[in-house]
Amino acid sequence: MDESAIKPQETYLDVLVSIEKQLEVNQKANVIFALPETEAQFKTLQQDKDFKKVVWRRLYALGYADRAKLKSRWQNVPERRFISAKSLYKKAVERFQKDAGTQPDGWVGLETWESLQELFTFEHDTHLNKWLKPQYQHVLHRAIHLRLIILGFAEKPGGKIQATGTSRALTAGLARCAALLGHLNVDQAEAFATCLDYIFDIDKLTKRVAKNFSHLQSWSALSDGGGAVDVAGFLKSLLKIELWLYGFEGIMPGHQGPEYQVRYLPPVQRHVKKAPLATALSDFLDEFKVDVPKETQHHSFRLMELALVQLAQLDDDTIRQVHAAERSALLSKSIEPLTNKQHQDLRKYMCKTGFGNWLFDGLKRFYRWLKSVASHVMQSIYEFRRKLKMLAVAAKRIASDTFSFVRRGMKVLVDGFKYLVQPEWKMFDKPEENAVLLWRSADMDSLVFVNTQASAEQVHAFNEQFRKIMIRVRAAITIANWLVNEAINLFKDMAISGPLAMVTLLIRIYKMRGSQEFELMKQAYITY
Amino acid sequence: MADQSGLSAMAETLKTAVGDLASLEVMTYTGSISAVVKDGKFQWDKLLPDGDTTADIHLLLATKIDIDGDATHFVASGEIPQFMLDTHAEAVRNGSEYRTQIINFLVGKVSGIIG
Repeated sequence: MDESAIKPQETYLDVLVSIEKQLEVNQKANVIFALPETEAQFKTLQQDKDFKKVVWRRLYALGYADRAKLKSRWQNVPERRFISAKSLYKKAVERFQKDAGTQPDGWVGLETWESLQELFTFEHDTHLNKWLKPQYQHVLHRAIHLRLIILGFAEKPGGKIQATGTSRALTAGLARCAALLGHLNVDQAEAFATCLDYIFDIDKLTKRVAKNFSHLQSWSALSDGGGAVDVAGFLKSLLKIELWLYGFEGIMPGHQGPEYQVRYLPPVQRHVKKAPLATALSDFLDEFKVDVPKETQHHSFRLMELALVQLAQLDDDTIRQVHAAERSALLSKSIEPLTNKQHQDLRKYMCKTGFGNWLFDGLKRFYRWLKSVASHVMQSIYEFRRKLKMLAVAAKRIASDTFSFVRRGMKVLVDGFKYLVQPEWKMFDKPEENAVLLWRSADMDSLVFVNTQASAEQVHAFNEQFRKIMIRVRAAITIANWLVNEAINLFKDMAISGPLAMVTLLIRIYKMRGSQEFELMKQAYITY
Repeated sequence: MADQSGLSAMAETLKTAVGDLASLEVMTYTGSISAVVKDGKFQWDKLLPDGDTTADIHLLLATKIDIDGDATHFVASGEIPQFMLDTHAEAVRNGSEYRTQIINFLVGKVSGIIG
């Protein structure tokens, strides 16, 4: 954020407005974290381990939970019974859901979460038209009461920031609110709707205060209507709300630190009667130091410094010196130049907890996602390579078996057809050496000549040879038959799938292993 | 189309050839081989009915099988060695099986392709 643009402002509310402008610039650059409003973002939030704590804190502030921290406990009446934290949480959620008009199932879904956002937080638009309906009266009164407490218009019941929504509390708080709005020249300030309009729209309230800031320069408690309004308390709450809205972690609007201690005022200043502003300011700064974690104090005080510089100019001459001394003492302790190590620690902390964390966290998540994707891709490539290798081995095996099959088939085919077209069959080339000769015409008529001098063994040998040859011929005819069928199929496949048909053919040939044709061919082949 | 006519003619030729396959004749002769070998070649025509009958050749066994399964057998008088009978039977069996396959292949597939 460019802080140089903020420094020349006149009032500290102007500072806030200028901060707002600067933040808007940053917001456009998506630097500032947007609270989850979509279901997908909400699901991510739901998985956060602190989600239940956040919900419980809100329910407690709205008066639906009876203790600030979610812990299991023993119930005293009517009989001692152990109630788990889970059960307490569920009951508190159910009570809220019942008042907020959502299904009381004890489960914080997007609908319940959005209701909490609208009624509890300042960053979310509150649809008053909805909540002003009679059935939501109870929850709306609690939400109004909570805001009045936070803004300093209503007393904290029992010193706790916990809304009760009682009529008495609301009446008093709204009267103070109306009084302040009246000082800010708001029309019909006393109207209930006007008060709601401002306390549920912090931007509108801030702008109104900034615009009419001169009317609040008395810095004393306003005593109008229902009671005194702590203007300084209201302004510091407003400042804290704005800072909180702009992402300064650790700032809890309405939170009160320990009892005021002038730790930063020099002892010599004690006899000086402090103006309300000095008290409020010191109180605020002290609270600020309590609220804000030490690691981020330096960063936060940078903004506080800007506010203090401007505030001092608004004081009267009487207390200016005091404020100057306070500021000097405060700043000398708080705004010390950071060492390199401190700078690194702050940077680490901001990366860890600030809104910058979301950016870095986003980058980390993106890196992890990228790494995951890369790993997945590499795994896929590895798997693909492995499968490719397996495929290559399978293809090699198929091709080897197929070609072997084809080679054998072709030999059987050629030999078979050689015998098929060969009319004279004999064992030896010289006719007179043969015991048996066979002649076959084209129409399969056969003449068999058996030499009278042939022995039975010689004739059996011929018969055995003849049988083998016949197996080859039969196999050749079967293969020819199969080839014709495959040729027809190949033409059909090529018309449909092109060259891929050859692969299909190879696979079909491979699949032929174990078929009757293959067995016959094998039988024919082993006759050689 | 001309090609179609050519193919049809070839189919007719095949069917005619197959017609000769309608019957199977196997004849087994015996005799001195020197009587039917001339110039290093076996004179098969001397075994045919219209061949040179002066040669010392005897028809021992003859079988004619029609396509409808009817069979006619000729067996010469006298004792016929078993191996002679086996040889003739083998020739008949293979010829019959051969003929069936050829008929199936030629008539079935080739005619089917031509349409």
